[in-house]
Amino acid sequence: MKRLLRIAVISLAMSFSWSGFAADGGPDIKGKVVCTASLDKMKYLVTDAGEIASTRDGITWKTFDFNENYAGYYGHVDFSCICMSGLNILAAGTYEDGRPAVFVSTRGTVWSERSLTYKINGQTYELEAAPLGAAYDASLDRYVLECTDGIYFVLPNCSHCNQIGFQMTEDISRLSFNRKRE
Amino acid sequence: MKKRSVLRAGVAISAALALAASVAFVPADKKVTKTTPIYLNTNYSFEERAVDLVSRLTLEEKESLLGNNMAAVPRLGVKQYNVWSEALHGVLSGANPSVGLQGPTSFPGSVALGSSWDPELLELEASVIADEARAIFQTGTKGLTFWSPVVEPIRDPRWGRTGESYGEDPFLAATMSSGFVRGLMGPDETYMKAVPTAKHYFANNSEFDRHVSSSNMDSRDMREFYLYPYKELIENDNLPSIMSSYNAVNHVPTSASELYLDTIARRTYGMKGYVTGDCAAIEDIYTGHYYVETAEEATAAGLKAGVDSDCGSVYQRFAISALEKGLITMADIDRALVNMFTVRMRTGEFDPQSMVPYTKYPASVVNSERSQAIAEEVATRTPVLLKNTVPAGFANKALPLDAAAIKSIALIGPQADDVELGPYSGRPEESSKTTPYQGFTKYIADKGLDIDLTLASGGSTKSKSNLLYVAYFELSKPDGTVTRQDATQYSFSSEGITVGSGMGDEEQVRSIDDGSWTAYENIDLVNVEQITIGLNIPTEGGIVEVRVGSPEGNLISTIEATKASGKRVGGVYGASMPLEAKVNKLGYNGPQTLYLVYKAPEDEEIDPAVIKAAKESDVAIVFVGTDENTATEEADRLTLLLPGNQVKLIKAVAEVNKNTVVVMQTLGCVEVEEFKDLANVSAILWTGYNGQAQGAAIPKVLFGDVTPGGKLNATWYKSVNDLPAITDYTLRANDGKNGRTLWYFTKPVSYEFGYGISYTTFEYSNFEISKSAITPDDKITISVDVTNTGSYDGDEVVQIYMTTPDSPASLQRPFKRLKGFQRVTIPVGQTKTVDIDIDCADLWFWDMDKDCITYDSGRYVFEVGSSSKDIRGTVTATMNGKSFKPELKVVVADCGVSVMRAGQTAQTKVTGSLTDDSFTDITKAKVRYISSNPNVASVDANGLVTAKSMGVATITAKVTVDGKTVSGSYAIKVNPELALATLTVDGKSILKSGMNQYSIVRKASAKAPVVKATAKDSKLEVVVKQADEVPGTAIVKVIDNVTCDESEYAVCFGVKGVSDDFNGAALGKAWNVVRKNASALSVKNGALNITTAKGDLTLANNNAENLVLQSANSDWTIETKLSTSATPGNPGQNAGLVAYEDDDNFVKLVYANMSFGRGMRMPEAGAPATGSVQLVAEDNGNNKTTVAVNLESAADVIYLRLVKKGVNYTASYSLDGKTYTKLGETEVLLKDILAGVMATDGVRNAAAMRMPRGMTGMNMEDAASITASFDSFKITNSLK
Repeated sequence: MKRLLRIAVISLAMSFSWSGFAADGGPDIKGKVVCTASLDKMKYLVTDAGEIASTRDGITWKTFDFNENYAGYYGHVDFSCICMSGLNILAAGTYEDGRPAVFVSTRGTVWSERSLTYKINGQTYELEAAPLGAAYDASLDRYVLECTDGIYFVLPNCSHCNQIGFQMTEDISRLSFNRKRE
Repeated sequence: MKKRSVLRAGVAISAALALAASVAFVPADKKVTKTTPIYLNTNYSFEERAVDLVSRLTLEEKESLLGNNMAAVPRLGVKQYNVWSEALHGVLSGANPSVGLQGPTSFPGSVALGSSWDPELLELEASVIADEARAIFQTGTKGLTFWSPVVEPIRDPRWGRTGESYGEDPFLAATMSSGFVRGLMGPDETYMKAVPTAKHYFANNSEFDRHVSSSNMDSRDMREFYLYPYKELIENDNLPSIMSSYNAVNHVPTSASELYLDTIARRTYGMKGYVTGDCAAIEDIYTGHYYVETAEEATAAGLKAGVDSDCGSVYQRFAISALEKGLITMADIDRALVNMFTVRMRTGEFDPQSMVPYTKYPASVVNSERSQAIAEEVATRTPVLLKNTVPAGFANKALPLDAAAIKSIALIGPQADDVELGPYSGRPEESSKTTPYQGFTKYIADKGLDIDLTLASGGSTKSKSNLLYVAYFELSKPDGTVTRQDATQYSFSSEGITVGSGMGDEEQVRSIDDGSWTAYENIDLVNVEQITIGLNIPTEGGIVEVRVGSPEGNLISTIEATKASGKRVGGVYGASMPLEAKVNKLGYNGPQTLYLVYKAPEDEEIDPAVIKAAKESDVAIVFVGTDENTATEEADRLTLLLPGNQVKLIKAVAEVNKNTVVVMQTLGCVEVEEFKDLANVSAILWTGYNGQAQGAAIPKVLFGDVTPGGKLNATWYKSVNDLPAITDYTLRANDGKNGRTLWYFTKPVSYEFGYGISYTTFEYSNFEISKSAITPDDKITISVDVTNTGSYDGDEVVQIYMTTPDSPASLQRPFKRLKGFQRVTIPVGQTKTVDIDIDCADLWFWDMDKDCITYDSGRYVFEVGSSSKDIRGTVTATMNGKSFKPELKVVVADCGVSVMRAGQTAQTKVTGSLTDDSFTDITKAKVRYISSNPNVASVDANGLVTAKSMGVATITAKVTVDGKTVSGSYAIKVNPELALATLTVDGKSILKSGMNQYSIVRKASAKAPVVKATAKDSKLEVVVKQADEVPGTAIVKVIDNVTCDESEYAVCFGVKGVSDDFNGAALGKAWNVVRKNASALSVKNGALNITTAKGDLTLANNNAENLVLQSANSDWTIETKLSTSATPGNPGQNAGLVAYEDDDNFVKLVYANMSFGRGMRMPEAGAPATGSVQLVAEDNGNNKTTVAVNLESAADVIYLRLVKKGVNYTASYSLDGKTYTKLGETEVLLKDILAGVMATDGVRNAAAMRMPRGMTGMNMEDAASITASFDSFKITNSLK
């Protein structure tokens, strides 16, 4: 219930801040928006129907149906968040069996899956918590996922080097960074 | 003809969906038909198929496939694929019950296998690992490319990853690795069962600095020691992959070195396959080594050097950007992907399952009974017996244990009831793991032995090195003042302290050992009440003593930062966390020198219960060792002592039990001098990390079911102090520094390389060599009879070491090198003749002067023995080194591209390496070129390839040198030519070969002429967008809907231009002004005057005011006479001519401020600015061209001329209006072109801030605005 409420609040807030979102064309989507991201002129959003839509000018949208395009290749994904770094885009959610799923793309139409393994004391594990949100830390050039179970999961450049940052007692509701990359 | 590749996502998706039906995966067992695309057609070679697949990819798809997480491409039926998997001693994975998978079997690791000296055993282990890998792959959860084995010889036992290496001697490392490689690849000649990758190429032998360090060495050490295993695996086993390492070698990052990756690995040794970078190695090129400045440059450096796959996201984020910047070509990307897909195809991934012998492994193969049995069997063959004496009061040696005589056994030590699997271990089933205690319990029960077993684990393995990483400290005062000090900025420190960030992001003080310290001068301690230290606990942690004045000075605070005390940890990748402690105020005045002194926690006392158990037992077996906290990836050992209180434990047990057996399981050499000769330590057995069945194997060995037959795979040094600095990659001794390894180390050791005794004894006799006079072309056999003269069946490893006593002393040849070995099983009383074959070609040295392999002439003495010191006999041969005639060995041919368009040509380049690892002069060789399909691509006698029509062809170069012929080949794909067959305007043909912009001058009109076009290849689509009016531009695109490539043609309808002398009072009707600022624009005194303002047109700065432009949509020459009120200055003042489509597509020729680009002739410091003439072109916002010339002196008047012909722009300038100097040319396709003049202040950019050395006298302040006066603008239209 807490998660649904959080998603609804995000959608509501974002729709107010996007002029022309529904009235002036807007993305051709089937589902409801669950998360948006913007950087400079680019905007991205994900829906609960597995769509990823983008615009460069706020007027002309392209919609990419992830699950339809990748049917039979990646599993069916329920997206919960999308984030942009300026260098690529990260979209995360869960597979039908609840496993976390994280994908990255540079231009929004070709997506590769990001490995979610991490190491503790030399042993390799897989992330099991589900991503709720994502933020990009420009100063260290890495994404950070806010996951269930209060987990903060770091995805640096090196796909071998993921880290479980720390574990909170409650789910992290939002995360953001404000330092530019130098 | 210029081609433009533009991604058209909308068209691509719809076209792709239509295409998907025809190129979907060939179902299992579907036959090849005429419509089967080449990449799915098994009648073609893997490389031809790979190149066809790559030719069909869009640019974004290609970029997404350059990382280890290769994207799925559904429209081509390509599944996603993770290149990164590990299988060092078992597939690195865990159970996956959802697909019926148990946790994979964890076999004994590399150091253990290395001490078995049994490459066939390792081949068996690897074969079983590959079986499990295939079973896991069938479930779709992992790939088949494994980044194993580690083939680095153990140069220094402190290396944190020693546990992953097979041995100290390159021959041992190479021979054992060969077993692994063969086992993993499987026997099938067509398909690979799994794909091994040898790593880390090369000389990555210290962890703490691997991202930033340079391993420096001469070419002898490089070739003879570090590269040797790679050479052997590539040349003898067709190794299909290597991983480039993090470090630099001789200051060049291996991941950026064409020499190491291409010239040596591919062209000298002949590697065919793919190169992956270590994870983040491409990033390290610019963030660790600062070898280049940007991510795009690092992408280019990696791709051009030959790294095909980036374990990271640099390639996947920056490849397109690097391409757009001209740092790489599409051919660089294509080559990398062809290499990657060729390997994937060699696993059978794209073939019908019925053709691939490795597709029938069910999930039940993983951790099957067979796998478990083999894991246990291997674990019995790895242990090395180091000591075995008769304990006081006993009749027989301590081992094997006498089950009849022994009534009680105490199992003691931290590993007595533990399973330590070591590095890169998967997660096997708990039920498959056996601790020694469990193993003994079962053994005793199964055998029905009457033995009481007592477990008294005791002891700890807490690491005494790498205690902490320290990032900063803060001092707090009662008034709220907090001062922070970067801990890495210490004033001085104890020896060995380092600073680094490893795989993390924070710089920290590292390599902290017990007793290390760092000191900080001028620290204000007045009224400080609290200290907070930001630190990270990578292993067990330690204690920080805060002292003043010296490492033994007044103690003002202590922080216990240990796991045992419950402190949170960050791990080797983690960032620091703050820990606080109160400070004892001692009334300090004035600045002090603060010391942070680091101490290991005190060793725990030995539990009296443990001593009691030892005392009351007939035998006390002490299980001790290392674990992943002792040393691991990112963390070297700083000490070779057994961690924790284990030495204390051994001594304490030996004190009370005369029959103390020590069983050590470690990552490699440990210091044993403190206990090895204790009388009561009756036996010592050592293994490397011995897998999930370690506990089951041990009782079998100790009770004598199996006689230990292993031998040490490395030298066991008496003390770490005998070793040179870990950062020293040279091998030979000099200037008081000891040499390294059995090759060059001369001091006494605890145990020599190859040492290991047995329960039985062996005698050697009848030493023979098949030839006494040898050349490098010979193959010889050394034979010896080995007799088991003891009482137990057992294995012996017969070792052959080579020395060259006649080599000149000045060459400092190795004292001895291992050149042959064989492990044999000999029953009691029997004699076996052991024949060991040696290829004399392998007995080479490296000639540093001639840069090639050489053979010393003279005696080659082959020492045959049971260890490198226990030599039982010798045989000698005399080598005639001068008889060596190198032969052609490897031919590599390529033409620089993988995908061509019909009509294109490319020149084949060929290299030929010889058996001495030098290169032949190919111009003197006989080379014959053949195309497998001349209708697709022909090749002439000189190797020039001409692409003819769509399809694939393999071009082969057959090179003959001194009668020996070797071939090299490459595949190319020819895509249809994106060219027009017809182009008409109102029915009249205007098409000219090589042109893609046409200019036609007409009168202005609301209706434009009609353009029509057809493509040369009927499979291509032609789209024409007509011009709306005159002036206007019609755009014709030829589109390949398979690759989404397109070429673009422009037919520009223009009106006659209007020259202007600006003699009026205002601008004429022909002119329009973009971003008009009337206050800065005037026509008077016979000139158009523009006063500059901040802004420009370059890159992201699209804000230049007062662009005065007129329609010029045809070919023309434009000229102006320009004067400025002052010489253009900072930040980037410029004025001149511009051809303009929009802010992101233009060409400008300007008089500008001075330029400090690379290669410019610099004025003397303090000299007045003279200005420059610059030609700048932008194409879709990307800088296409910048040409700049600094003038000799400031120009009062300058004449600028720009000529447009099609897409070509030629710029010239003159100072007198008569003699023009050509500045440069550029090509850019502009549409609906306007031409005119502009003047602006420009913007400051980063390049301008980097003053060249010696230019510190230059004024960098922004200049005041200037006024550019254009006396005239002349335009002459060309053609009609």
